[in-house]
Amino acid sequence: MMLTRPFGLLKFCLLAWGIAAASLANAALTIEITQRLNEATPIAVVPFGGVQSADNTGAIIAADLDRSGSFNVVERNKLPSFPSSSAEILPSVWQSVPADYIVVGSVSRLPDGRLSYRYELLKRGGLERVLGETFTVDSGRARDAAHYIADKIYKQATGEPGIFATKILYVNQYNRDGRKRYRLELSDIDGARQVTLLDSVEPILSPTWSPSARQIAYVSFESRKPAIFVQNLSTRQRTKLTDFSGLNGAPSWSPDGKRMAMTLSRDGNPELYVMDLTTNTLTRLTNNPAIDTEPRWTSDGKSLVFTSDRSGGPQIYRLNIATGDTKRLTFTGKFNARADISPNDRHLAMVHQAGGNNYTIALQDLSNGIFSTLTDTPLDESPSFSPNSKMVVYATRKGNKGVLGIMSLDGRFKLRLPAVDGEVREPVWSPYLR
Amino acid sequence: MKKTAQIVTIATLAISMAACSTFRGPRAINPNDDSQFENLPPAPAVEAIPATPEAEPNPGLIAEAAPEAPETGSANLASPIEGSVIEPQAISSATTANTAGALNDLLKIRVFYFGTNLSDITALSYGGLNAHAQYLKGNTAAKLQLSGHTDERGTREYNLALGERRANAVARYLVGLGVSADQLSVVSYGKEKPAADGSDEESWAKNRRVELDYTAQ
Repeated sequence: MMLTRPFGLLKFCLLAWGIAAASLANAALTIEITQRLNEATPIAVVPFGGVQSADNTGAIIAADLDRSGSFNVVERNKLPSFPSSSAEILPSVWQSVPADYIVVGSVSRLPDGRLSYRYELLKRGGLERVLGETFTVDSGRARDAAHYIADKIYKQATGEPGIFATKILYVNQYNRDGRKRYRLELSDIDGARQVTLLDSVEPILSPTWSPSARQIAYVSFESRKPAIFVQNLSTRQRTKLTDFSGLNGAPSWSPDGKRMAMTLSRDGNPELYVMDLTTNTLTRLTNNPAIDTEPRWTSDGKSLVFTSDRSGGPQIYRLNIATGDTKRLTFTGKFNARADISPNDRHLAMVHQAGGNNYTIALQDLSNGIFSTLTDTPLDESPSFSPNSKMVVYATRKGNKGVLGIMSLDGRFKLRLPAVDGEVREPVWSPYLR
Repeated sequence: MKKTAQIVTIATLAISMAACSTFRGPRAINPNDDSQFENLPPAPAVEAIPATPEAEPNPGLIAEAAPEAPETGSANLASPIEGSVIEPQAISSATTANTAGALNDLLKIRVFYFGTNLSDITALSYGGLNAHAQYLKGNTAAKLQLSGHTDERGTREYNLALGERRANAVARYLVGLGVSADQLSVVSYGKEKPAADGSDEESWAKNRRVELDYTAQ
């Protein structure tokens, strides 16, 4: 098995992320695991050897794998020794450690300041290596390197791509001097490296990612009416995309990055439009006295799923952009809105009124129409799929406070992410960061 | 004569049916159906109208106590609800000093409420809205912003649209009474600016509203 391999791709994607580590660190997210899988794979993650952030690397990898719900990480005090490579493992001692996998590794700092990583994934007992790699990253990218390793381990063990290097974008509402204020924030999926992109006295809504993850769009009321803004994440530069009379809302980038779907009421009532981002020309897609809003693209870029109350109350519809054909998708219950479609096009997640005044997150399997409720908390909204289609982040409440939740699609694994300062909502999961 | 009467009747029915289907403003009140008044804030006790006359409404007066006393009674001052088709009530121009005082009190009402998921103007709102219409028609330099709001249930963008629908309904009602459309502007805040922070029916009722804000007197 090849062990030595320089990792240029990681360096490229890390260079593209010019986000400073220092930030207005007031609203970090914390994480609480509320329910865990019983069949999680036991894994031992040995603290990394070497001089730079040795504990941090192993700790980040362990936390990622533990919080994925697919692994149970063996407690550090149960590890018989701290080897940095398979060569340092004594099989007679490690044979009895109750772990299906062992992770060992080391970090060193090169003369030019870059960090050099080496890691191995070994099977139970430490005799057989299934994965191993060396790579370098720029100085200051230790967290990204750790998440990269966790993703590789996750993929090797489960066959699915990991999401530990992804980010979430969300809105934080907080109080200052008796006034409500709003921040648009970005953080790693584990809540670290939180960055404020906008701080406003007026509401911010509907954040969304471009497919390249280099830009975001959102609705801001800073001019006392809703307008759609686009912001570049490395330069932080903002552009006002639309400011028509009436509503400007629910922006959603096409998968090829060239068009933006949105809701505008400039023609009299809320309709779906698509804007060509090179020419800024608008095409109106719906023509109906109902409210048509909250569009999301299918991954082939040919259809939009959206919310419409044309049948009397909000339901989810799919519109073929070329032909205009519109088909209703949801028939369970009298309220279904704000659908997100999974990147594999298999599922819709939506806000569903589940009897009485409970607004929960529900899933509809698009291959067979089966509808199921995912959450059972009463005031949930804004579901967003992970890029591997396996989990959903959403806004929920703990007591009276808005917090974020993450659940696996089978409902068996749950995390809660409360804010330290104020409330959080409107989460949207980034694409894979390439 | 009989045939003419028939034609007139049919024409009137046709016109009123067409108006009812396209005009999402005030609709026929069915005196036996209380469901149209579901989920509204509790009706207030009628208060004595103070005697001090005011020349013009003070635009700074926002009805902050409004949820406890949203309207001064459910009857339009010009004529009570009879149970037949209600049309926008024109206020008689023969107002006395007493009626002017009552009018000014109606003008102090700056918030109007709605049923769950509805954008229909309810009968509770006519008195206040008619007063604002009269004021706006008599003061053509006055400008009014209508902001639409919803309760916290449901999704944010859908609620922005529903709030706009409510504000538009109020605007259409005022225009139907003869107010010039360019005196009115509409904005929706959806569920972003609640008046009450609780998660219960009472708070929700206080949040389903359109607020009136004079930007020029």
